[in-house]
Amino acid sequence: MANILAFGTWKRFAAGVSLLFMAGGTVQAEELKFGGTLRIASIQSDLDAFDPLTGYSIDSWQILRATTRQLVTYPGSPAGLKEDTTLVPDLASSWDISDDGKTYTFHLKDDIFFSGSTERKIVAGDFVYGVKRFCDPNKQVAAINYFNLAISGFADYCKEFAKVPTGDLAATKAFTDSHEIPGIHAPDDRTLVIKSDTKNYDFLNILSMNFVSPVASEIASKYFPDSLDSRKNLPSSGPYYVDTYDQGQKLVLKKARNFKAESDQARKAYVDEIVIDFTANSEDSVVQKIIAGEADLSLYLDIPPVATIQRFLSQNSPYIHATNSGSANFITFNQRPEVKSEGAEALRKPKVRQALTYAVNREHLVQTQAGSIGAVPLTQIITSTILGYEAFDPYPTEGFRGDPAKAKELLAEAGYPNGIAFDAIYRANAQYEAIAVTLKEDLEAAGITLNLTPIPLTQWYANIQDPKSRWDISLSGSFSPDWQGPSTRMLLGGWLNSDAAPCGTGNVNAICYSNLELNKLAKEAYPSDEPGPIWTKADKVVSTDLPWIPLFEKRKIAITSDRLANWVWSSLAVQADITNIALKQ
Amino acid sequence: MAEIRAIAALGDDVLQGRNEVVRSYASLVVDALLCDRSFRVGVLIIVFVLAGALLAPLAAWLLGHGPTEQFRNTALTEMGLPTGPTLEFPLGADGNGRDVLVRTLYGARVSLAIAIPATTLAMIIGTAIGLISGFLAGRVDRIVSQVIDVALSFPFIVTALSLLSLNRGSDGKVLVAPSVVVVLIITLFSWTYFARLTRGLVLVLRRSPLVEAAQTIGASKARIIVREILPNIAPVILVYWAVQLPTNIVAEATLSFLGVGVQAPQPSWGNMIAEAQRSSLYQLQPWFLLGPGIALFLTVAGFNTLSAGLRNVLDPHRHSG
Repeated sequence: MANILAFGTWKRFAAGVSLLFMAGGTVQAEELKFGGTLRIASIQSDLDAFDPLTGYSIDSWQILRATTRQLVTYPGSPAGLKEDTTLVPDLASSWDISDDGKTYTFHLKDDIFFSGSTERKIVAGDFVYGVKRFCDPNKQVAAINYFNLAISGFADYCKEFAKVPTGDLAATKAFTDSHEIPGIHAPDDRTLVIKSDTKNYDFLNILSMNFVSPVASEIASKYFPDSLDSRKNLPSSGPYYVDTYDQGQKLVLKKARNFKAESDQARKAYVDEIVIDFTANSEDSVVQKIIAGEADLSLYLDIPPVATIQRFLSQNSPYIHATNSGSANFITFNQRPEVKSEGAEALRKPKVRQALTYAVNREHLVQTQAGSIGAVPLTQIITSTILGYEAFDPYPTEGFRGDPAKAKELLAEAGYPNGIAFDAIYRANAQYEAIAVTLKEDLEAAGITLNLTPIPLTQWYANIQDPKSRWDISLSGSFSPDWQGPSTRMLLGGWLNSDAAPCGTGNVNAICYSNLELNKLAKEAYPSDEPGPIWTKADKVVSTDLPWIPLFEKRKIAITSDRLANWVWSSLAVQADITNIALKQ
Repeated sequence: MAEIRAIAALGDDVLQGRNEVVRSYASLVVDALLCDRSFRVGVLIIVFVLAGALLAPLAAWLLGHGPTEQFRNTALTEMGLPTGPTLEFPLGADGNGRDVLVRTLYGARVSLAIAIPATTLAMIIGTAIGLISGFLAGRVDRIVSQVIDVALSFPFIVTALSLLSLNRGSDGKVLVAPSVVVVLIITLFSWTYFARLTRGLVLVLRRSPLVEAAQTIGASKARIIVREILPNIAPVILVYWAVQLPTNIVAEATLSFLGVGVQAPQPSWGNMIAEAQRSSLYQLQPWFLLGPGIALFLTVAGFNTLSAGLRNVLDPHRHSG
């Protein structure tokens, strides 16, 4: 019964996807038209961040895509996120790389302008100022570690900047005016030079994140970063500028007069206006607005309700889109050396970790995520959109359903013939609760008892970082790549690499895993011109050792209104590329 | 009805010698209650709910479904959509492939197991405080009244959420079982109603001839409160217990709905309703919401009807009969 249903759903899904391509094909052939207003309905009542400095959520990046441009970027892809990993020039027209691979000289385009509160030309110095703002003590850039690595002298500059008192705009301005970062300078208005201490194959990818945007210092220095006044007045470097911003009501972005689509390789800017409506407030009402045609896209909607997905699929709708997202869920362990509980001690034995992976029924977990359209089983550490990925399953079971008998056997061999109990924590929301109760049921069959403790979302990070917290395993471990493609650095080179993330308070995810073989491979990969195979090897090493139990890779599902003429994924936003979507006229 | 009250007011002591003419107070009350339609309907509904709660394991055994057991292969589609009512799942399944009927029946146990002790505890505490405050009057009464006013001014949800989040040791583990904390919180918020009611009743009674007579023969304060006043106000307090109980059942459901009451995977009506609402699955499987929803409605309606019946018979200030 389940199999027949599954097959039916798949067929419907396949039919929907092919229809989608057909529909896309016809419209593309007819040529997309410019004009119209794109309407986005947001679940949250405001943007969590709206400044290239602070925006670090995929949702803020979806909107910042329209109001910022970088040196290099991704052009978007109708096929999927994995297909949108090729860098193209953005505000830079070209760049030269020094022989040692440590210095990049960017040549900026000539016809690039700010819009909104100023319409002057964008110059190389605006990038320098943008980077100088990164460690503003009033509000710091969200992912500072990347820039400590990528820009020479950045860390020392930040140490000095930290001494400036907060809440004093004049002092902040005086500091940025009088201090330079040795690793970044603008010899002239069209040239920008960035120097690193080390050679890194993913240097350009780091620069592709929205943080590295030009900022007009004469305006930005008047406001505290990301304050309401700053949100309203910060000029845009992208194809759209802020026309009106009523907090909690709506944000209206209008197309900039001096934006030149013909010289922009990444953004077509089809629509004239983008309106973000903040009044919907609930998942249900956002979905209803899209179905009724009152909104075209959603914001802050992680995944549409299963009932809605099913409705779109059963109607063979071309207005539902799904792609592997590179984000994944894991079971992680409390690996702090000082934790001596029976559960934590047991998990130090490889056989217990293997028993755990055999006990997990990944088919059931995928079902909690709306089935195969919402997730795919994961049996390794890195995910399908990331450099070095090669499908690998060191502990295979039939249909990913797990093998409780084998798990019991391994537990007995490890010295736990009567099973074992773990104190398990999870984030207290619907999505993670479904994962937790499903794991509890399935693990019970293998003699593994989970004592569940829900942790409120607001206390989650504080709780897992606190060395006194009492837990053996966490059922809510998750990972999302900062950018698709060569972002393997984050997981294998960062989170799991004890050289980069030593056990201690700075280790946000409290991983405390150390594998010298992995550390060695990561060290090899960074300066390499061919890092892919090295990461593949590293993935096999850790996926076999099981520092975490991989559960599933999430797929991103987007639903749209029928006013859209095409569909383009933006890999950074993990959503629609609003600068490349056109409307039917 | 008026005669029953008149005779009841005499007290059993007076009635004892006249068995041949008038039956005992208790049997009169029972007869009057049985004649009252609201009482009969209320009892019927409550017996139905109690039977459901008591027979939950039997239903689980007959259907072969435990309250937390998941049937992902038979009760859910590949996409995780739950099946509607079938022979195997009489009220269909929830989003995790669990039997809605079995969970609703087990949910009744949780609702009653929390609401009954919480209301009873609130009644005992509230009545004790109300008795002392009303009888002693003066300064004690003013202080107690102020305390009640302060207690009443706390917003229930906000205070409950903060108290439940305080129930975590430095290691992140809960200190006391959440259901015990829920009982205590509900008690904390409902004793005041009992205290106010009792205080009001006692203030009237302490000047009554009945108390004055006891004082003249030199009875102690404790004796007067326990032997003279308490028996006279007890029926009204009991009526109020039945009025407060459904409110407290809803309070438990509210806390579980907000995710701080009964914890997953244990079923409670509040967290079942919350799950149906959050996942929007009730659009496809309405019984996911209707099961616990109707059960909650029935229980609240049952106790409300029962309390209406009790009031008709026992409340000396009502003159409906």
